[in-house]
Amino acid sequence: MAREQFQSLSEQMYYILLALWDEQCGADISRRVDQLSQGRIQIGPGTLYTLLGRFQEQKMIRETESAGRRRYYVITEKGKGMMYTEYGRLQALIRDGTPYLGQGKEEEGTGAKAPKDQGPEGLAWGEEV
Amino acid sequence: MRTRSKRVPAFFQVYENDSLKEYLEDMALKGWQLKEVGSLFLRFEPCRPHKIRYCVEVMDKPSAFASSQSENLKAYQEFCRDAGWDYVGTTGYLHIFCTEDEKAVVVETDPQERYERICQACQGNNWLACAVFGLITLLNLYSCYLKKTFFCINGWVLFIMIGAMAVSLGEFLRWKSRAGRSLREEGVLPCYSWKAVKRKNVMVIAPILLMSMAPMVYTAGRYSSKIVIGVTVGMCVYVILLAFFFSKLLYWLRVKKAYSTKTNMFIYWGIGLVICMAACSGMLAVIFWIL
Repeated sequence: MAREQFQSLSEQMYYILLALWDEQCGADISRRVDQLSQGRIQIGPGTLYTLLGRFQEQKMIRETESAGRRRYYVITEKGKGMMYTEYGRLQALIRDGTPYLGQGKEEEGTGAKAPKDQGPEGLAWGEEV
Repeated sequence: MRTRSKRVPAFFQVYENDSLKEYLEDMALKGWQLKEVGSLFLRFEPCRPHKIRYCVEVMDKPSAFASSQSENLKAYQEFCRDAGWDYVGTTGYLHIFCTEDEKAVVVETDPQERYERICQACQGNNWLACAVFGLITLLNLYSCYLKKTFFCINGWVLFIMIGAMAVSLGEFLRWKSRAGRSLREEGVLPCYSWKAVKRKNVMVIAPILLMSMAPMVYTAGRYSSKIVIGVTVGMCVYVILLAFFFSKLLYWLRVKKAYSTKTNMFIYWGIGLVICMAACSGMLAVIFWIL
């Protein structure tokens, strides 16, 4: 079954859109993503450039200002809608996985434990479910 | 006083971009900094031996005919410059950046995206190679048809052409398989060391050159030897001159002119084809006149 490109967002896409909740210029987006993810996600300028182009094509972001070669972007209502959908999807993953993967749960026979660096529901952000 | 520089053949395939990166970084540690990038050669100038980081990447929607003066590429370069990466040049599909900032984040951080772009660029490259080799193959096939045998010089050229294409395609498919597995299991693309790439190129090119010279050795001392030597040497010179011509034409279109990708393709194939056929006819006429 074919999957649409932005049906679910990758981590890098998610954080770029989050960074664009407030107007940002291209150069500052990488720094903002680094802050939001507490250094966990780093986005190269080439990757950022490509994703910004695709987001613009899909009207998920729009250019607000162009000062010379510096361009400013902000997320659109469509982009926010997709972010809320993604946020809901991630919440559902955490909710459904908590009974099995939450803090204090151990896998029988292996003794595997949930990692120490955990999110509010016992699942570390970014852990594959 | 003119600074001495050296030119090195750039025989790296698109999927060997990380090997090229490693090679450039090793050259910088030895005191050679990359200054100019062409389709066939890289030009280095002496520098203080020190660490320079390079990124060799394929842009989105890759094309060997994309102009270096396109707004898209300029914007891409600007983005990278703001992040600390200076643009050095392009071989066509591969764009080379450098920085001395240890903390600069690499240009492309999405391995899956890199893999897809390399595959797209290689497909474009393979179509280009198939078109050029296909033309030469057709001419030789026609000669074999006229002679009603494949056991002739043209048949031998066919064998070498098809063998070279098969090796080239086989290498790409091997990388693609390994890259797909590496992405699934480790989330990174595989990287061959540049020394291994150089060895592989020698192992591929040397037999092709030897096989090209084989007809001369086979017919040595026979009445047809003079013709075979003339044709073999003539073909080798012709292929080398063609490669230089097409490389310069592409460089001129990409770097000196600001035409669109489609216009560049039309000019390249149109003019290139006409000059190729004219040069082929002229060369054959010279060979038969001499012999």
